[in-house]
Amino acid sequence: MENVMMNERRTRRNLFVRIITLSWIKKSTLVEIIAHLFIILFLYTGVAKLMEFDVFQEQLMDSPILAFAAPVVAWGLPITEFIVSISLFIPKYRLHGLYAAFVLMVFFTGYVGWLLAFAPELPCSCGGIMEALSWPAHLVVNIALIGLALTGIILAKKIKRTGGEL
Amino acid sequence: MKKALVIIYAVVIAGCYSKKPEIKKTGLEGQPMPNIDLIAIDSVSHFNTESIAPGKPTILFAFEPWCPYCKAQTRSILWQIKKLKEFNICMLTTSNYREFKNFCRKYELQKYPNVMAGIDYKHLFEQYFKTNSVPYLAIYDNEKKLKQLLEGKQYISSIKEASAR
Repeated sequence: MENVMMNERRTRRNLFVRIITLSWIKKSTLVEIIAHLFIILFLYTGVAKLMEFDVFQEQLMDSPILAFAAPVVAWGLPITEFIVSISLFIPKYRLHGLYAAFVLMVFFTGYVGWLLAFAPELPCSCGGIMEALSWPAHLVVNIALIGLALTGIILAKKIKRTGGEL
Repeated sequence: MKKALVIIYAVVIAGCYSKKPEIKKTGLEGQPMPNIDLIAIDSVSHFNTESIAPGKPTILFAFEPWCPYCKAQTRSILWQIKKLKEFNICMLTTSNYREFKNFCRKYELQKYPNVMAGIDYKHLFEQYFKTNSVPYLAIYDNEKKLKQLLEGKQYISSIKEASAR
């Protein structure tokens, strides 16, 4: 009787672990979901930056680090976001896209971290809904997105190593 | 699946287009311009909106020097100042004098004959229009009667449209 109960408990625990670790979803599906989440993020923030380009440029001009390169960054950043989105969309280039998304998120996080630690005044130079976040919240979201990109890279590499397709 | 994704992306992009310039109905339309006493850039002299001569439409532009939307609005107005040459433009802020002076210097506001700027030290604009953000543009006609209050950064075409309405 006790054995039956223990087995039942173990089964329930295993089911819970499977749900939490998302191991019930195929690896390639997970990579696809991560890629599309980044596409939505980069498309949204890229378009939002271009829609209010002059405001975005003014914000960059106030940045203690990026002011000197404001016009280049103002154009370069949304264009980079679109290129990364395209590479994430095409399965053949998805792993490259994930690497690029990871690097972008590390840059964004480094920038936000630097501002929080050293800048006397905090400018906002993000696009769309991200603008509504406080700076500490921004940092937390960015770190979570770095983790997401890293997860995507690890899974995509595993799939490629076993000869699978993304 | 791909079609669904394309639709999701289209919705995401369309979300960015949904921001339209806001026209605020204040109930003050048709009312004469309020008298707002302003401290000029020399920090000593004062001038009043009462001194703005009628005969030309006027824009009361409430801004703050730290606000990127206000900076972008200022830059776009000055960039296209020829299109607004028939307007009196009165810029007013509630900021401190140092920030105000730096802003005026940065944008060389004194270079423009139809642009005046001052500190609304009594916060009369926000009290009169019951606003709590910037930028705001109050568009007045030739007789200094309110045509429209515009909230947020505006295109020059929207300003001209509001004046012509």
